[in-house]
This record gives sequence, structure tokens and C-alpha cells, in this order.
Amino acid sequence: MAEDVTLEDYEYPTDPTWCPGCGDFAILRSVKASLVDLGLAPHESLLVSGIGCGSKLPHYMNVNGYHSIHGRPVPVATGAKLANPDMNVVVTAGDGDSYGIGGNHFLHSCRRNIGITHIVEDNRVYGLTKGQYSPTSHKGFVTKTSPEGSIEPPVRPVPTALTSGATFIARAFSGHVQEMNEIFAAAMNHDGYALVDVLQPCVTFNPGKSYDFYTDLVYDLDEDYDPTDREAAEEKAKEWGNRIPLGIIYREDRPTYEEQVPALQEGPVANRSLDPEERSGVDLEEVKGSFM
Amino acid sequence: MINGNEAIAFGAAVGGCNFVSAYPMTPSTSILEWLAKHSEEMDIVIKQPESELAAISIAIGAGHVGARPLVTTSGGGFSLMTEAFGLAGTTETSLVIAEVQRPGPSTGLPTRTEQGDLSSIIHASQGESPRMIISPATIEEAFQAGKRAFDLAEEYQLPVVILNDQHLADSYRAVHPDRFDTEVDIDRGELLTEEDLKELDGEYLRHEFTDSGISPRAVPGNKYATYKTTGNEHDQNGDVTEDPEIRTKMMDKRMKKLDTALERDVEGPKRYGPEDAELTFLGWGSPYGAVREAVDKLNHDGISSNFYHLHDIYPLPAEEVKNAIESSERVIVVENNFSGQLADFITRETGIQLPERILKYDGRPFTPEDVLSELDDYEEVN
Repeated sequence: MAEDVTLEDYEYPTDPTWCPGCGDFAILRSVKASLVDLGLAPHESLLVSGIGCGSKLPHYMNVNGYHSIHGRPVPVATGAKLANPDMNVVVTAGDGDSYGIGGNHFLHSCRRNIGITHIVEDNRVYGLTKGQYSPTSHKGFVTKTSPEGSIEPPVRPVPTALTSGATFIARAFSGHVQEMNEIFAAAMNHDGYALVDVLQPCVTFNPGKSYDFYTDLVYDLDEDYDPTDREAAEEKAKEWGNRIPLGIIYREDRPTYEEQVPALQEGPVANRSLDPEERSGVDLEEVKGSFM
Repeated sequence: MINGNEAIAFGAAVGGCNFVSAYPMTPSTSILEWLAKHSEEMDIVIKQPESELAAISIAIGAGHVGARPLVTTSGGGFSLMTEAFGLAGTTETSLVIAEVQRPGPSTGLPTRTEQGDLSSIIHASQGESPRMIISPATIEEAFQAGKRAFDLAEEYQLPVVILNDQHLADSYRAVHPDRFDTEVDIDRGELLTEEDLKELDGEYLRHEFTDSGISPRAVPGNKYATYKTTGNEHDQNGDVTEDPEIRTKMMDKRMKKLDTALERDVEGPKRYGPEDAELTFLGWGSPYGAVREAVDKLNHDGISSNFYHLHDIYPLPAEEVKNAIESSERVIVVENNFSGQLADFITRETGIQLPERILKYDGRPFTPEDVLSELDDYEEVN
């Protein structure tokens, strides 16, 4: 940990291609701010993204970034974490990447409790492809591919994560930046899989779900709300529609996946000798003898 | 006693594999199982995830941060992995995939044998990206392939496919222990240490243009090399670009690595039998034993014959293959597939037509009789 990290360390010359007013600007700022709050230097994190407007995020800050393919940022991040658990591994990807094409990885990451932070830029529309309904679009959403309104009800990320075994579940709103910073920092500090579903306005292709819409509905969880109370969390997770709670909805202490992997007990394999005899003390001639 | 899959697995362990990410699929699973069985004593991370899409993506993440990952699968699983296979190619991520073939298409004959996936792996994924394909024909070569693949993957920073088939995978043979050299000799290619990075003039460029096409690599996590990479076309820095000049240079750079590999590491076909022969067989993979026996029989019966088999298939060592073909009056390609995929590939790369082919695609391995019975003018002498 480098203690004198500042926002300047995370500055990068590339200008975002996002539309003016896009919720991703605030998410980018909060990712940087939370890393500074945690005292992490740029080389200590790996940001993994998929494909979509929000997945361009790692290109707009000074940090290690792996900008992968649609649907696969979570497994790419999982592999990086398993090979080097010392690294702070964060996924920044949209609702299509996370809940649609990559939905299977989301479900299994919840029960697996792999130590990655999964920030979902949930604008409830496909923005990069210019406006088609997404897994979290509301029923009846009229888009270019649903001219009569979409027929399916949306994925509900928070209750899905809860029933799938996630150990940290939060919701943020990119119109409430200070709270979002704190949620991101808490998520990255959590040992295990941490989901942060961010309500992120797409002012161009989903203007009906923009700042005014959410501002009227969202509220911060009370200070006396206890996210470790499972029953309370189950009630809060259901809340959606007229009132949308923001904050850490559920948190549980459970061993992470990586800390239970036998091969990682002596440290990250990525940093240790590739020679199996040096790494583990195995006698290869003895192993060979087992065939004879 | 050891079979082809176990030999690949053992070779991989000796070759420094420290990470396996695989979804079970017959007939590849015994590689995963052998490494899982030995994972605790060798400190190898084993991850069996939710799908093949996850398996290769997890391996890519592990390779990106400096592990030596292995993916095991068969053709169906590999088909699912192809998009990520191209991602590894363009992000220049080191990765080894052991693809153990069974007859396709689709579920095909799940427990039988075929060599039907060569064409699809040569062409796998959209666009054009570098890869290497090596294919063992014997238990000894299976061990060598497992041991060597990780050095190739790191030296050239690309995915390397070990292409095996069910017949070799599951065939047990007693092999003399001396044939398995357990001396560990790892070469990570142009991997920069912290000292190297500290002394760099200017900033670190992950995808730097070089004569060999190989850009010196830094493992993320080092304070002197914070960098990005992406499946989008990118500049030397790993930032997204659509600049036509950079695009052309970056494509050239990535593909140049194959020329460099041909100069440095790719081996030509190996010959069995006399150098000068009137009849030459050409093949790859598990038909080796049957063809070798047929060659012995022919030579015994007065027809001088030899057999060249390719171990390093892609990129093709075209000059050596050409020399082998042109040194013989008659060349017959033997393959366990419908169309003669290696023969077609050789024709494409060398311009030499190979019309004589002995092909078998009933799911069963070759026998010497399968080869001999196709020779019209041959009468067996007892």
C-alpha cells in the first residue's frame, strides 16, 4: 500500500467518448476516488472490463487494465485473482455483460465467493449498439428491437445475488457520487465477491430512466440498518419500483474461494517459481516412478 | 504404463504449468484429473468452472498476470472457446490448450477417435490472429509437447494448442523411464524483470513494435509498468486505436511472431525408414503406429518406403515438408478424417498437390491393414 496516493496518480490523457451527461463519468470518478481512499497505487489493481460503453472505463484512468470481450470480464478477473490474490481485481462492465451474455458467470461468482469487486454500470439499455433493450430493461420498454415494447420482465440483480450466495451486495446511484465512492471502497475492501449494481443513466438511449426518474425514487439505507441481518436483507432486496434503497444491502463473512485453494497457501502462483520442485518440493522422479 | 493424456499432463507439470482451468469433456478429462490429483503436492491451481467460456477466460486472466495456464478440452468445448482464443491472440496472452479430438460434428462419437479438428483450429476465431499447433504422435512426444508448449506460449506470447486424439489419449504403453526427462528447463522468453523495467528509457510499451514481432513483456503488478491491453485494435501502449497505419503495423507485428517461431523453434517432419524410398507416407498424430508397422511390412516385402510425421503443424515448416515430399516418387497422406485436413493445409502452404490420401473416419483408429489394403499394386509377401 502506498499511502501518499492522490487522484492525480490516476489521471490519464485519453478523453472518454461517452455522451455528455452519461452516468459513467461519475462512476469513473468514484472508482478513482475509492482507490485513493484505500491507499492503493495504480499498479496494485487490475481493472477488467467487457464490451459496452462502460467497459471503456479502464482506458480512461492510469491503472492496469484488461479490456476483454463481451460477457467474459468476470472469468478473466477470476483467473487473474486466482493466479495472483495479492492484486486488487475489479470488474467494470455493463448490465448486458454482467447479467445477459455473462449471466452464468455472475451466478457462479456469487456462490464461489471469488475475491473480485464487480461494478455493474446498469443503464438498463444497450447503449454502445445504440439503443436495444437489455436484461434489466423494464417490461414494455420501446426500443429499436422492441418496437411494441419488450415482453420480458427484467433481471433483478440484488435478489438474484442474494439467493445465489453473494457475500456483499450493494446498490449505488451515479447521481449520488459521495455515497458511491464509499460503497466502491467498501466493496473493494470486502473479502470475497462484491457486487455493486449502479443505477447509471443513459441520457441518450434510455432517457426515461435518467437522473430525475431515480432521484425521486432512491433513498439511502438508514444508519441503523444492519446488512449482516439476512432476514432484513431479504426484505430490502425485494424493494424495487416506487422506492429503491441504496447502500450495502447484504454483507456476510465467509472464506473466499482463493483462500481455500491448497496451491495458494504459500502465496500467489504468479509470483512463485515455475519449477515445480522449487515451488512445492515435489520430487519429479518420484512422480515418474508412479507410472512405472 | 502411461497413456497419451497422462504423458501430456506430466509433461505440462515438468514444463512449469501452475494453473489449470478446464471443464470436463471426453476424451480430454484425464489430463485435468491427473493434474488435479497431483495439484496439492505440486502447488498447481485447479479450477473447474461453470463452462468452457469461463475455462478459457479464467486461463487468460491467469496468463495475463504471469501464471502458466493450461486449458483441457475436446472439439465441442474448443468451439465454444474460439472468441476468447482470438482475444488471447490479439492481447498477446500466453496460454496452452490441450485439445483432445473425438469425432464430430456436434456430439459425434463421443468415446471414439478422429483427427477432424485441425482445420477448425487453424482458422479458429474471427479475423486473423497468431497461434501455434503442435501434435504428438507417440507417448514420448505427448510428454515433450506438454513440457515444451509453455515455453513456446511465453516466448511468442500467444495461445499454443496441443492437438491430441482419443486413440493416443487413452492408449497405454510401457515406456522406458529414460524417455521422460524430468529436468526442469524453463524459458520465459522476453519477460522483463523489475530491474529491467527500472532501467527502461521512456515508458513501458506492452505491444512495442520490434523486428521479431515479440514485445518484451511485463507482468501487471509491477510499479514500473502499469499498462492496459484490449481485444480492440490497440496501439503500442495498449490503448484503443482505429488509426489505419497502426492497425496495419500491429497486425504485421502479431503475425511476424510466426515467422520468428519458424526461424527459431518450429521443427520439420520426422522420418521413419530409409531416406530414399519409392513410397512415402505423410501424416500426424495417432495413426503413427499403424503407418510405421505398414512401412516395416512394405520394406520387408521389397517396396522401399518411409514415413514422415509432423509434430509441429502450425505454423507449417513448409521448406522441410516440401523437401520431404519432393524427395519421393509417390506420397500418400494418411489421416483419421474425412477430407485430409493436413494434406489440404500443406497444399495451401506449399502449392504441392497431394491427391493420394488414405482417410478413415469411422471413429476407429488405423490398423496397418487399413493402410496396406489401400495400395492397389501391393501383394503381401509372407
